[in-house]
Amino acid sequence: MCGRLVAAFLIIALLMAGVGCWDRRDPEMRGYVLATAFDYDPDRELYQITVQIAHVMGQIEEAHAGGNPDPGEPRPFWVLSAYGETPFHAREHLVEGTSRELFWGHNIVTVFSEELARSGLRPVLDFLERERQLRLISRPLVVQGDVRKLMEAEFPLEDTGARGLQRQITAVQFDANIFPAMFLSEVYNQLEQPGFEILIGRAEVLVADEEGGSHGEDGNDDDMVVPPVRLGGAAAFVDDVFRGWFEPDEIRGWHLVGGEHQSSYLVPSPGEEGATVGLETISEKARMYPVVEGDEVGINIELKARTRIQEYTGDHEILRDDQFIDSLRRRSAEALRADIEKTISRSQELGSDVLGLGNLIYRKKPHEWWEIEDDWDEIFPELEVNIDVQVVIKRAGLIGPPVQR
Amino acid sequence: MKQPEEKINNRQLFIILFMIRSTVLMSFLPVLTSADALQDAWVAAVISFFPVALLLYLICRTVQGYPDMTAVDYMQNLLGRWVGKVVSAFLIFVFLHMAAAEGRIYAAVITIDFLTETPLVFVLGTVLVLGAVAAHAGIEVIGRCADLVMPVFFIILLGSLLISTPLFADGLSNLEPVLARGFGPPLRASVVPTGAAARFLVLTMLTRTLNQPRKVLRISMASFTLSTIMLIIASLVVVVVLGPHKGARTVFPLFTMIRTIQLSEFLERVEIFAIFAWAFGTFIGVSVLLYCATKGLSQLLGLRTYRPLIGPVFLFVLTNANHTWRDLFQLRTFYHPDLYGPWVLLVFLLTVGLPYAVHVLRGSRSDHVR
Repeated sequence: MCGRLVAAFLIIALLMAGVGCWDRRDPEMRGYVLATAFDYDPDRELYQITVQIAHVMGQIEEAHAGGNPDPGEPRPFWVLSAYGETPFHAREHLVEGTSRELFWGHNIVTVFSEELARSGLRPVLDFLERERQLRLISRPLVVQGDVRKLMEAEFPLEDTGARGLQRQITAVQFDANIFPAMFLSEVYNQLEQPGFEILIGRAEVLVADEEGGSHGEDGNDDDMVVPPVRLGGAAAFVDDVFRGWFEPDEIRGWHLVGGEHQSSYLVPSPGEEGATVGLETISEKARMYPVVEGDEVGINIELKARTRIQEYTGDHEILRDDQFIDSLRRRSAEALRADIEKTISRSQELGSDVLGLGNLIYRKKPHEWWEIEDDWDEIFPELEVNIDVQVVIKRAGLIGPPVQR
Repeated sequence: MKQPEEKINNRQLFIILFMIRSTVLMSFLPVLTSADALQDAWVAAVISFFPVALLLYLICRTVQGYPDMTAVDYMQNLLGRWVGKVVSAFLIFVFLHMAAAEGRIYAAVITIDFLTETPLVFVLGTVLVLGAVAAHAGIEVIGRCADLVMPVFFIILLGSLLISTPLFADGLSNLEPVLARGFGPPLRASVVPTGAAARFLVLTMLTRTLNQPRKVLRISMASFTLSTIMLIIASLVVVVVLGPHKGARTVFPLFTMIRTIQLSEFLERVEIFAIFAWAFGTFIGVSVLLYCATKGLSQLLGLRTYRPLIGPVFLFVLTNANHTWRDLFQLRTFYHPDLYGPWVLLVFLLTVGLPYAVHVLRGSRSDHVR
């Protein structure tokens, strides 16, 4: 009898669980947040949250129109903003402007405004980490320009702006060394590690002009760039507060030291006036180690890179001239070394240890680190870094000498 | 008419012990979250091996001396009728307390991470009802259930850890520096995983049901070694992927780690599988603990069968699990080395140390070992 009662209870419990959502939070009744942006208004001391929500009807319209919907038709996403005294408070106010309960589990891009970065990311980081629906696998960005414009930007090749941003990050991550692509989870790890400062990639909103080109909001860019958003460079922080920008060419060294991704660079062709050689690294292996002698602290960086020639504007018989290749190798090493130096000097200039050189000392020589930890802010800008780069040129593409006549 | 004695085989005991330990250790990864070991959490897992191995040895040597008895019987034999009864009652309370803790931790992760508006008592009730039904069915049924769920449990657990290997290259530096602050932090962090070995006290009730009780030490050590290896791997993986500080701040680090994994654009959001595994582990743990508690209680009260006690004991555990810890903060506080350490020390001294000491002093080992 007892067994039957228990079995009946279990069957009823399972049936109740199987018919649908207890609180009628069915998937088709929810608004799916794809990207989230945070801004801060220092005058009003208010946080602003802006979300990009998938618009299912807009996506259907766009699919029917073959990717080119009529201007009057709904867009495949909708952008909504709200203010609040804290990030959480701002999020709570979003509900006042939407007919659907928002679901955050599909948020793939997280954007911080420059203003927020200057006031400190910590309140937003806490909210992002604590909220169960949000995941730390979203891509963080710091936007230079209007956050709202970034969230409303349409990417011609993608259905939603969030997807466009995510794919642009992936593309720039693998094809160019000008943007530090990372996941939000890595930001937390770096922020908490001793002797490490965070570096978050920069997104710049481009504005269309009358001639059909586009430029940055400061109006200084040329009109050759036509995408809605340009990714390149990064925001450097000290603790959670923005310290300054890294330009795209100052990011290459960050990638080289991290031993990540391909790096392309140009060097003058040896012995040829005006000619250049374009090279690309196939693989890089960087080794860093601290040198601590008494009060003297330094860092040695050794980089070994294997490269290939991708472009040559001269007319030398490059495959049969060892001297040419030797010279090219030295010039390549110098170019890569200059990239690393550029990153280090910018980071020292800003006082933001984005390469984690202090963390390197902590990891390899913890007792020495604890002695200098409190003075690291003074030591770091003057830190001596020795860079040794060795380059091997492995290939020259599908041809030897360039086309001749 | 006397009912036939229920029996489980060595493999089933191996699985039960593996799941009962792995579940609680993986849930909130105490080597990382209970103290300040940070990147040396894996060292804490290694350290915890030795005291737990000693504990297992003591438990197994004692129960092997009385292979036809449960703890309730041999405690009275060794310590005298009344002291034996008191210590047995304490042991039964420890079983019930562990069952309540097991259910409460599971309910906590479900209500914090997934079903945030579902009443805690509902989730608790669900898992405890399942455990009570299995306990009512008997240890043979629990053993077969363990056989059934073990492949899923193990594959999911291993898969959850292996899925993160592509992230290893970038995160290995998170493991440095090794032991820079000496052995103090990992020693502190090893207290809770060592204490979690109190779950191995089920051996004092289950050895009698083994069809080969002579092998209980070997089987227990093998199971314990495997669970320790998994714990070491889990602590390494969590630190590598999340980082030592983030991992230590997280309530359920293993789940957060799995949530953080994204391989390419398609392999992500796989933590639900880990929840399945955990649910299986909790089910086995709760059912074994309820079985041991009710079996022991029935012997203590002189009842012919333990089954009528399942219902009242279920209600007692449900109430305990719901009210012993007011909230998650109290639950975490309970698993702090300063509190949990003295508690499990008392448990081990009374239920393992005392009987073993008397057993050795009486020289009864040679008389009783088969």
